[in-house]
Amino acid sequence: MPQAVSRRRAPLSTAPVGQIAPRAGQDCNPRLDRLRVFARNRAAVAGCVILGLLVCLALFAPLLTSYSPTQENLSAAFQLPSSKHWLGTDDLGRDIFSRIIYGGRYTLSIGIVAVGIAAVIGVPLGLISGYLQGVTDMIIQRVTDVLLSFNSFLLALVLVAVFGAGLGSVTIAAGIGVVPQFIRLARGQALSIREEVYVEAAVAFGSNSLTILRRHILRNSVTPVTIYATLNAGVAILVVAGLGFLGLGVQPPAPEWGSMLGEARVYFFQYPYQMTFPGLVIFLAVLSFNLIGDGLRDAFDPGTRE
Amino acid sequence: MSNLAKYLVRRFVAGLLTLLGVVVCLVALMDALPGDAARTIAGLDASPQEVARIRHLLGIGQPFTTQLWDYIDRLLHGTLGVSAVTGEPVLSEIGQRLPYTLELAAAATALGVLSGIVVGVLAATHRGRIADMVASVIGVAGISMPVYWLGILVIVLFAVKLRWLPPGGSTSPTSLILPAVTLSAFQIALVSRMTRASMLDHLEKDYVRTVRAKGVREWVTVRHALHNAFLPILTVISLQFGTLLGGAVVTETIFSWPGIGQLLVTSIQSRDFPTVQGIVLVFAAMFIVVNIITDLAYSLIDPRIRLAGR
Repeated sequence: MPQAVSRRRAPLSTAPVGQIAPRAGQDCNPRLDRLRVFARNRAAVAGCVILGLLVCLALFAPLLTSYSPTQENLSAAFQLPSSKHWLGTDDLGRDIFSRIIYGGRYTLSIGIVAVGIAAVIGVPLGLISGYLQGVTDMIIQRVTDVLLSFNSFLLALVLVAVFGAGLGSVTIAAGIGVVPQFIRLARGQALSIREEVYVEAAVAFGSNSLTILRRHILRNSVTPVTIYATLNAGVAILVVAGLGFLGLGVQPPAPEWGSMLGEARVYFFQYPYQMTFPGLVIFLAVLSFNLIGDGLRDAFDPGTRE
Repeated sequence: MSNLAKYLVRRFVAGLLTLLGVVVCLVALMDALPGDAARTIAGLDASPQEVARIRHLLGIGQPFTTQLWDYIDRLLHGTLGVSAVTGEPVLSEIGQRLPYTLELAAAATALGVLSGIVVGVLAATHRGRIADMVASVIGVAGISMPVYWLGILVIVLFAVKLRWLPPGGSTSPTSLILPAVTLSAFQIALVSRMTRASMLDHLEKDYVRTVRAKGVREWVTVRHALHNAFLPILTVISLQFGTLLGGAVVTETIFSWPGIGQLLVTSIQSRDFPTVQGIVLVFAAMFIVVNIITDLAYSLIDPRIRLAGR
């Protein structure tokens, strides 16, 4: 099967021929055009800047602070923000700024890995369900219905209840929590793409189902799945931090943002600043993924905007 | 049998099958408990008799099919078993707390939907102006805001600093205000985004142009458009009911609101699995019922929708 056939067809233009030709200096690469649309979206660019900043803080944490995120120093407990401790210290005298920038390594990476797990499980199931239809579709969709009757957070909560708190189980639980949404998205894509002429052509040329799924349907689903994954990274971070807040996530002394918020809750009447900054970074991280996801959707898949 | 009755029966049966699926998942998860679950629940200091009691109570060691049938049998007899920690019937514990969760969910939904529609309509009718920009900020900030952080911020502001409202509990009628406001934030954001998009779509349509051409006041035009734009809004409200319940779990914990969400968290912490199973089943049933009610509401809002033909 020629490679070019698998590309999604652009709609035929009804514009006069003279208007189709690109102007001098104008690139006619549609992908580049969409990237330009994305780059012109100020909210999306703001999202990229915020996320980039949070990632840089997490990556270069050892260069930005001399305080250990886990080293206790009871003589320095409950210190207000100052030049020595920019965001103050917690009940065990640990530097909050240090814990926040190191904490990004946990919260951001768990969120991203969780979405990766969800995509790896959900997308193939959804594509198979939508492409094969019949009994396979019915079974996968009934299981999805069952999973959707919980929401992401409840599903993750139940899984953590069974398998216990901790880095691994929280990551898997948060990932499985958003699997049903990926199944539904991929199924919708498969249902739409299987009707395309190039898929009919592939069937006529004798391609088997696996080849069609991999070469045509999966390849043409990459853009919406990427957009959806970006939007769901925010959901996964909220789930991970929510579990941490309830004491069911990454366990102390790891500086995960949700766990920090949960630990600081005990003292929030006396020392509300302890909760301000972990909450703020969770909000900023989720906001950045939402802004980038919205921007990607507007640029690459405007038809799916609400 | 009327079309509506047939549809209701079909949805009811489908709902029961989904609930059966939930039961299978819950029993399978119980079966997958790692290590000696009875010992974990009872605690390291518990006597062998206590561990044996919990093992018997949870059906640990029995085949999966036996555990599943036992659970279904209990359901058919109208019970959800007894708590592994307190020994009280799970159903009565849930029954005592469910009204609080329903009250909170109803208040948050009412507040979220009404505010969301107002914000969304204002944004659509003032497209590109300040009201629209403010609505966009509310929309994106609301869906990004962790409910556990927002809850604490409103407690610090309205209960600790201003002392206008109680910080938690359910002792006075005003105790509901802060949890409901916190829980509704996500819905306000989501409903306002959907209302704006749906209204913008309808405000461009021919029938709205015709209404405007008749010279009626603008609010009459908006009312026409909103009536037709309401179906996708209703869909979002229904689909996000699960998110509302998830938010209720955290909100009840922050505000010490004595609903089943708070009970779920304490049950997970004490590894009281019969109670966890019961609460999750009730949450799933609530989600299914809300979706059936939404489908019925479609036909009331738009009589062209015939349920039996769907």
